[in-house]
Amino acid sequence: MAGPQPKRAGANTAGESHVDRAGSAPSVPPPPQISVEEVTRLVKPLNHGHIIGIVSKAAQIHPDINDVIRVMREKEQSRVLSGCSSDAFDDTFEEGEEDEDEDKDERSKNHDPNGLPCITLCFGGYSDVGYDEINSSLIDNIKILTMSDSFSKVLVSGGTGFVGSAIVRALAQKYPDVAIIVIDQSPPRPQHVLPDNISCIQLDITSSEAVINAFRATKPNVVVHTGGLIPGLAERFGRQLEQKTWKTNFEGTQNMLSAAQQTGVIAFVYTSTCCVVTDDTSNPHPNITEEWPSAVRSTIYGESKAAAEALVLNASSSKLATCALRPSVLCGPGDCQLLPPIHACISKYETPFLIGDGLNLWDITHVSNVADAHILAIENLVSTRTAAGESFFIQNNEPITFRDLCLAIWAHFGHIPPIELRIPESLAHFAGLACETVTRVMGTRTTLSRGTVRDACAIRYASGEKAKEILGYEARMGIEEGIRLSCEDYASRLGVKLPAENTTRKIWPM
Amino acid sequence: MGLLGNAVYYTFHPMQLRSILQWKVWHNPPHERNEKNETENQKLCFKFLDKTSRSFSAVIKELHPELLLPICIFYLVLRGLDTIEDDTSIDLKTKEPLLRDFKDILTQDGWNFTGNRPEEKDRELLVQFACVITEFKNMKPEYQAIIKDITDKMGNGMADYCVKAEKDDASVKTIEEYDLYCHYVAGLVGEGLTRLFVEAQFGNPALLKRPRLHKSMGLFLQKTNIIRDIREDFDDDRRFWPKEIWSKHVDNFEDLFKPENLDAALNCGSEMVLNALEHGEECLFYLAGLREQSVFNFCAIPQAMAIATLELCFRNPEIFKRNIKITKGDACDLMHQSTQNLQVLCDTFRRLTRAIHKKNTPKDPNFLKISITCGKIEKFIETIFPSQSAEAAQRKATGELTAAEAKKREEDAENKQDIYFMMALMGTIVAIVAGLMIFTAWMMGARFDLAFKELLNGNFRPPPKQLEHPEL
Repeated sequence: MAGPQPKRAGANTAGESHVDRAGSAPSVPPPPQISVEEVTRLVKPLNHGHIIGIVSKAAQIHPDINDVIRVMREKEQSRVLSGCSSDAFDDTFEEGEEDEDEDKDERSKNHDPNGLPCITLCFGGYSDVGYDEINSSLIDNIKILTMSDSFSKVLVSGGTGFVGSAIVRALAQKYPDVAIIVIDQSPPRPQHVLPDNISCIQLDITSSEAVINAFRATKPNVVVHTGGLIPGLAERFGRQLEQKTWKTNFEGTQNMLSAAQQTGVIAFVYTSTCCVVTDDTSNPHPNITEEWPSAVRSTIYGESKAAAEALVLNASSSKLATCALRPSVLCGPGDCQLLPPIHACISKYETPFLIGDGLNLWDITHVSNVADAHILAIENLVSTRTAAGESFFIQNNEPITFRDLCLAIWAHFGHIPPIELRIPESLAHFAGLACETVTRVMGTRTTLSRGTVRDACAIRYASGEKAKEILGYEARMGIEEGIRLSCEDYASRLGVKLPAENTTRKIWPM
Repeated sequence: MGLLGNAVYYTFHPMQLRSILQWKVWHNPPHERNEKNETENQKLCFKFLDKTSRSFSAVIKELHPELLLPICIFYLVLRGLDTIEDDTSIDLKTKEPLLRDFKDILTQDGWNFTGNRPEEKDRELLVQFACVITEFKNMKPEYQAIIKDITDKMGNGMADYCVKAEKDDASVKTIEEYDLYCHYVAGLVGEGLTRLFVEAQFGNPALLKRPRLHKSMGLFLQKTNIIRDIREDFDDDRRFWPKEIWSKHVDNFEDLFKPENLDAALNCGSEMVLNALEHGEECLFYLAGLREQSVFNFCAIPQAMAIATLELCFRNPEIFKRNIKITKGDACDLMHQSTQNLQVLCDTFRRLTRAIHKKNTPKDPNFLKISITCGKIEKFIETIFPSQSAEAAQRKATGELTAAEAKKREEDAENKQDIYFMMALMGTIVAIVAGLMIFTAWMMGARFDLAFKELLNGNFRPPPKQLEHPEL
């Protein structure tokens, strides 16, 4: 046994230098450290008599791992170190090859495409344990563990809101070890449920002093900035809330970004909106990509979000990686922007009226898919960072016409328009203008305006290829299911019961 | 419909007549068959092609000479196979070996088959099948290998189906079985044709690496025919609609044809159309990979006909009563559009997809699924032929103008100046005429000064008349 000892020592030395080299990479952060306790905890459940090796990569990161190996060897649970498949550790790989030759044992390699550290276990050929399953399970645990180490503390602004609370719920579910701090101007709301162990700080993000104090007190390393002001339907296409919207959406983002830079945050995910492009309603937006420019003539909401997004993306650096997600029109539990106005058309007897040709496609997203996208963005920014400085349209990739969306929602509430009256867009445009004039004179509110007419006739869906390619985003919740769940949630909030599904329908036995 | 009926019909449908004349007079085939150089055997093969295929014959004959005869033979071989499979008068013991060994029969000189019942309409093809075998053996070995391979797979698939039909009922149970059946009878044809196209270098070799595409080409056509032929098949005691679909709407297949179940039948039909429409995207993808015009025409025409048929069948009660077809005028119009280029075909697909979309109703349990599928087809078309580009949007945002736009803007400015000049001129004329009229009136004694004074005093109406003598 005296012979192999010097070889292992040499491998350790080479590994150390490789680690140093990886650490000096300009845009990739150094791989996070795995503690001996963690490795032991993970390996312990795999207490099979046939475990014969453990990755030397971990040993290079932690020289103390040899203690674990010694303990396992004393229990006859392991014999040799094995190599790993990472390109950065070629020397170690060769060393592993030699070890493999000596013992003639089969080895399984697991290579994480993001370059995260991983553990490789070897099993003897006589083992009947499915080592692929064990290694796969172990790799998943390692990934989650290292992710948790990378962003141990996440701050979510707007966390009590519709999108923010969905992000918090998804994050808490996937990464239970991560500490989540929510900052918002309003306290948690009953329709937006938050997990129990979330700490909330009530503050206004337009106050830079309050924001920086919160950052210093909590020291987050990842920030998700979702907080913002979305004008309601009545004010959306006017300019009444211009100052307030700009202050919240742009200056608030400025404060968040400045605080993040000052307190050493490593990743910043900004929740932008597709409206930065699509609110230019003088043009249709079919199958747009992220290369499309921001709207020239836009709503105050679109303008403020576009300015904030540009600010965030330009701030991306090696210290602080940023990206922006542009969700499309959203539905889901707690929605108060999409379903309520459409549902209100039933009681106002507006459902038969169809403006335009009714063929304009929209891509609506369920909020849980947007939450998934945010988690994927966080994971990317703390690992490969290929998403840094980029914006992404997030949608369901199932475009349907706006008219069909309305018809589906009404059908869930048991209403089907008996007739369909088509109104030319130009006529509706003048009706909207008339309503705007009356509103301006009388000082009242109305839902009909030139803006709502253009909005209802707009084409707005994106290609979605960039998010799929870089983030690996796929909509898990289909739009049909999403609409159904949203209608059920809204019905329960209204205190009404939805009519039962088509009783004549039978389910094919699967 | 007789000659007089036709005359009356086209009097009231002039667009249909126009489409027919347009196709007959103006269509320029990319290639034309040269009959002078053909052997008697080849002429006989083309005669059989005309007899057995009303729709495909004309399109096959326009193919490039390199593929004209191979595809004709391929068609006749599969038609022969199908004629054996379709004939219910042949017992299984005889039928099964024929189907499984058909690929070897292709190399037996002089082989023929006289066992079909006299009513089988394509019987004569098998009686004189020797001419097909002769031409098959005269083809390039590469083409022979492809046709032989497909014949083998299809023959085995058909034999399996016949055996299954003999043991238990021949109806299709699951959607998976439905797709498998369509694959054997149509998907394999797509595979064979694709290999022939690539072998002849008329198609992108990448098409071979994506078998889903050519499989979709075949399944789209076959499923369309199954949907349209529902009544005809029912009358022949055959059923191809999967039980997994129709059992959601009715308890028994026969119930689809009862008037009281019309709503359920329409919903079932639309679910069948939805199932077929899911292949639309891949069909367009496949057609984008074809390089030669006649091959494109050959593939595009059936697909355009298929989606037009789906549009006709969608939520149409008539499919449960009789066999419905596209009108001849519409067919000519579709053939005209399909033989231009991919973009024109995509426009046709989009128009017909939107027509299906228009008929969709929220009463249908699959309302949203149909909407999503139509949306995906439209999105795919938008992907390959964008109606606007990011570059154009960038230019518009920055205010930069292309040469054409700058010229157009100059012309608009000139037009605007002309309009202003015309308006000024009209205003001047109106002022002069008005002045002349007022002056003339004054000369004739009009008292404008009195009228003006009264208006200033606030008297807008003439004073009421006072009666001098009450008794009068």
